[in-house]
Amino acid sequence: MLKLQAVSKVFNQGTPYAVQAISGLSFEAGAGEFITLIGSNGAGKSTMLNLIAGLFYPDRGRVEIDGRDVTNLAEHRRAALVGRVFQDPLLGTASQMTVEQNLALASVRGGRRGLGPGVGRKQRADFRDLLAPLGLWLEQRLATSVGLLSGGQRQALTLLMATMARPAVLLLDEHTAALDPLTSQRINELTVKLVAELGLTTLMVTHNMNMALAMGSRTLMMHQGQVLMDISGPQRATTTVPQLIERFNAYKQGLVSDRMALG
Amino acid sequence: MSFPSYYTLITSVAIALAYVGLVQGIFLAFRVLNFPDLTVNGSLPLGSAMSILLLERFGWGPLWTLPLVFLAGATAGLTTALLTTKLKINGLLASILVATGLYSINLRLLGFGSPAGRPNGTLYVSEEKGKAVEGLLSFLPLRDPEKFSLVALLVGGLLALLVWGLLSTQLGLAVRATGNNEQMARAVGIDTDLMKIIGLACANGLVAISGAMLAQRDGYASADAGLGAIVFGLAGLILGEAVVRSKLIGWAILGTLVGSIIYRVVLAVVLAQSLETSDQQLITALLVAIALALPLLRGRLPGFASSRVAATQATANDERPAGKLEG
Repeated sequence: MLKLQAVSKVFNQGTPYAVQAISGLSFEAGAGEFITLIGSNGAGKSTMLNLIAGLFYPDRGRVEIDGRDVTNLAEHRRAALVGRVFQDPLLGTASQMTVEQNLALASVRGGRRGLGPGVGRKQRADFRDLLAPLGLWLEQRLATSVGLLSGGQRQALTLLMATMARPAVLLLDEHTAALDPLTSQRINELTVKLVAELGLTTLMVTHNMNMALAMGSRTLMMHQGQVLMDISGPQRATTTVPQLIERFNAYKQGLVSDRMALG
Repeated sequence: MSFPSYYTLITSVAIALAYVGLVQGIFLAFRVLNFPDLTVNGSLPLGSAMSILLLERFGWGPLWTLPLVFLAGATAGLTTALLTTKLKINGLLASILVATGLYSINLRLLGFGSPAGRPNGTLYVSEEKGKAVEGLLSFLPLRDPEKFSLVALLVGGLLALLVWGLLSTQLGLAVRATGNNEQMARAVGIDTDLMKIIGLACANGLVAISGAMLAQRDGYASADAGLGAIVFGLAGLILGEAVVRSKLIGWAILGTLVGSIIYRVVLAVVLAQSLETSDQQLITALLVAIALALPLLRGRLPGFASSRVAATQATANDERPAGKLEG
């Protein structure tokens, strides 16, 4: 469960370059809800994800994950609650370390890291079971450096690493945008499967309107640091991509007031 | 071409083995943590000064000084790490600041308890103290390079095993992830600041031990021993990487031992060609340049591989940044 209450964030405050990235944003995601997030560049989507992950803290407002106030909790201290996959497949894994070492790092997510063996024997067997369903033969390449894998393989691995410790919130920031169409589709299928199996509360940023409506159960549209559209259920089911694009353009041209959009 | 004598060669090996700690420290900082740490220019003579001070003024056995020497070096590394993680000072600059400050501290240490009571540039082990500590699990007499090599090999080998063991633990993996991909490390819940602190402390502790062993072999400690330490250490590291080409971490650590010895032996052979000891810096610079160019030369020179394919492969391999670790 995820809750944002009247959250605001200004970058470069007090300078001529001040940018109001998020302004008074409130929203709530129920446990196990899969939300897709759309909006033009600069709408504040990534900023919101980063505020939830703790890369920086809001100027005002409150962030709550799983009933816990994490507003000002350091990024590494809330990592047990948050799993993340970035757009760049290179960012989610340590390239100079092996597949099993990367998985081992993620498996201790939020826990203590002591002087025990980095990769345990039993763990290795677990990792094989975890990797086998991917169909990428990674279970036979546990000792391979991640730097030698393809972007798609790395992104699949990142997705496993982000979800294996069952975080309270899964954040996906355009995580298939840098992949070819076929790989992108496979990663999307894997995403849906993992989210459903583990019942993860998920927030997925995408620029692909088809994906935004086809995946998950609720869609938010952001503009100028606020959520201007929030559809789910039958309303979402009857919304088409052209309608979505129309609204999208209307916001960009400032033709729709907040009230009209929400009404 | 003249060859160095057996005595010169075994002395080179002895010095090389004493330098292993320095090379491993630089390996930890530069390769594992991906942090250009110049603190070593101060922590190497710090180790020398601490060790000889304890030995000469307090009558400690040479080996028994090493734990305290490690702690002193670790404190230096800790200071650099705190400056850069908590006070957000650029890492390279932070390490230069600490090394500069250490120069004065080392002079103080070397002058501590001296009859004049003033800061001093060098501290010699007196003959009586040298004799007195010989029995205490000592690798003095310093003039016996064979015996010294044996003990230094033991210490260097132990340190290598320790570094390898530590880097294979959960904590070690966290340190490596911090150096490899800091964003990912934080995302999986690693306190990257703490990992830098631990890593740099260990690195400089190792460097200080190296400084102590060098000073014990020489029979004196000098505040100027740190000049160019970083380049000597890098020479050993890079030569080791050129010879032991595996990027797996265990082999890379073994490479620090091998590279250190190759560097000193090559140096001894070159210096035997009626060159002066003062030419060491120039030769070192040339050696490092050659070692760095080796992957490319392998494919181009007729002596190595003949085909163009090899050259292309060499360049392709270079897309993985030189000297980066894997495994």
